[in-house]
Amino acid sequence: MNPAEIISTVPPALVFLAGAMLLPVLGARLRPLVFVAMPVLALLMIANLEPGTTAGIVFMNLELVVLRADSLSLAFGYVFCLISFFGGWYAWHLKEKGQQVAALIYAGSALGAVFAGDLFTLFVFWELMLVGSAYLVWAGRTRFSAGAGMRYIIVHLAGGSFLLAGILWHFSLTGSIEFAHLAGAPSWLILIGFAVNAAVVPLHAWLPDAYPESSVTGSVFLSAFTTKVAIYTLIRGFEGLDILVWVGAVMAVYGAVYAFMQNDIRRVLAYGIISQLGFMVAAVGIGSALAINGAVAHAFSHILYKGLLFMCAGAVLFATGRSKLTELGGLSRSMPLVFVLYMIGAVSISGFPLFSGFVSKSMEIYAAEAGHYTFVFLLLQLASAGTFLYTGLKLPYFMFFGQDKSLPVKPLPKGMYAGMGLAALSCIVIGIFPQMLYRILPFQSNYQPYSSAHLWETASILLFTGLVFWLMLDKIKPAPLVTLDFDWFYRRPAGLAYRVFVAMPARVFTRADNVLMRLTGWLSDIAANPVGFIVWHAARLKSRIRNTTAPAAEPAVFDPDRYRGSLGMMVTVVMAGFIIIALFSLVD
Amino acid sequence: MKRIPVIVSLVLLVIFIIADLWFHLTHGDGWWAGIPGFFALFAGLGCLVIIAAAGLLGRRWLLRKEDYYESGRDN
Repeated sequence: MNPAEIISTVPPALVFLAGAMLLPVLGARLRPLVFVAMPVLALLMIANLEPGTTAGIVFMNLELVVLRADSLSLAFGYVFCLISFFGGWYAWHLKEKGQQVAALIYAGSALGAVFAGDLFTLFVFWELMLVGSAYLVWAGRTRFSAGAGMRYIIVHLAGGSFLLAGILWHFSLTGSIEFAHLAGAPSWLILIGFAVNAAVVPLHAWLPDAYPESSVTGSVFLSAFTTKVAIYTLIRGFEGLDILVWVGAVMAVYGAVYAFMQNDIRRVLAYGIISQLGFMVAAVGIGSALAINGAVAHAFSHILYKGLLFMCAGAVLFATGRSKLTELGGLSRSMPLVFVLYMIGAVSISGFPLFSGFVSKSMEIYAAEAGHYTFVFLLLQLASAGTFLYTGLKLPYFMFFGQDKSLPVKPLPKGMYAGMGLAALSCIVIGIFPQMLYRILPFQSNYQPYSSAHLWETASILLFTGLVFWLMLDKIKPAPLVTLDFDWFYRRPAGLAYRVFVAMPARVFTRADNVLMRLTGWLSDIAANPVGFIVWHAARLKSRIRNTTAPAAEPAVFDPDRYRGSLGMMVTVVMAGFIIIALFSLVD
Repeated sequence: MKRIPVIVSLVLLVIFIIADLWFHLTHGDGWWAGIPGFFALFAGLGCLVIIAAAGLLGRRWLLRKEDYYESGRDN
């Protein structure tokens, strides 16, 4: 085999994981350079992969396929490398080894998961993603990070358990661990595992709980990988499953309404992810070639513009130390460049012509129409309007305009601008040259986004969404509040669970401890001074019965002079001993 | 509600409906294809519904103080 062939059997994930091992021994100035070099290296390897390449290893009598390159996994591979590269620039200023290593592990395991050809390899990378991402949540170090990270881990471990149970059941029934289209009873368990990571309502609450509490740079990576790997696995395993159409449509609107209620800017964007994932989940459920192409294209452009939006929100948080709409305002004057870059992300997600959302999201919407899902089509259009309303109008209005709070602004590192600029550029390039994106989609497509009907429809929706916002502006006021969501079911009873499982056992143990300590005290008193103990307690009992005053003090310490037997008694005992011995010797 | 946005919105809506009647721009397989200016109306009403729903749900039910989940704890 020549070197190129050998390289084409190495999973690209290994590049990231090797980088993660290398980083800790490097100096602080070299680390960001190595960080951005890893995605470039992996991207070159992926570009070198022919569709249809597979590579496997045998482990415990199982043939594991650690690399399966086809058009579907390659498309996700490309975009994961791109966002890691942009994120690496954005995080150039970061001095913290832990976050850099965690981000590389996270990105690497996401790549590993999309290139996994069997269910066991998928599961290993699936859980490895959790390790990297949980660290990024904790790295936020806000008042709420610790709890949010712990809930994040618990929810994902639960989802992972469903996944593993389903995989084992599937394996025992079919004897195959190939990751292809799944059906039958075990597939429902696997579907639950996937649905947790895809933030399918009502299993979604971990996402808006954890992402807003993560670090400024960490949220960029978080917004990209976990949920999109889940979309990939849903396409691979559950393409055409009808229930997903409806679930997705509900998610799209649910996310939009919730996003509109939020006060924390990164929580608005987090609910925006759920809304956007709804489009993709619905498209997976429709399952036609146009729909699957749409889901992949939307995932691709979504990773880039949502990454950009999280970068800009992070930049605002970095510069001002604030992330609440109620505390922000008037930043367009002090952060004009961030405002422009944010708006590029916002018009991309809203589907403005010449930006990436226009050429990707519309495929899913038309797939719903072509599949005669009329109501779903309308729900998705409504969610589109809602997306523009909260990301393109409400958020920038209260962040960059609104009441000027004259906040002091810390200058941003140059790397942040580089990351945001590159991500913004990618949104525009995809919007202007959609064929670049369409070429890497799983199915051949002659979809034309720039048709008169589509332009007209988009113009109508966006313009009238803007008009309604203008109309209702004095009715829309952010408030310093949080919303209840499905996490209520495990967060609110947490107090009760704490009382039942922590406080109550603790109290029982304390009681038992006290009783034991008192018993031990008595025992040691008896051992130290048996006569005194008995005499004193007898005296106390007597005084109680006769109802007289209790004896003065407890004879706690043994006093040998007080209880020593008389000399005569001792001599008698010794003499008796001698007599007995003498008697025995006589008997002999 | 201010007067200018209302007037601007209504004027634009009429323009969109007339333009649609003239050029037949709204396409599609569904029943909406025959309604001129459908997507303008749909987006306008849809956004009003989203704003109203978010406002009502929030005020009546879902919005809580920021320390809501912390207040229930013993420690």
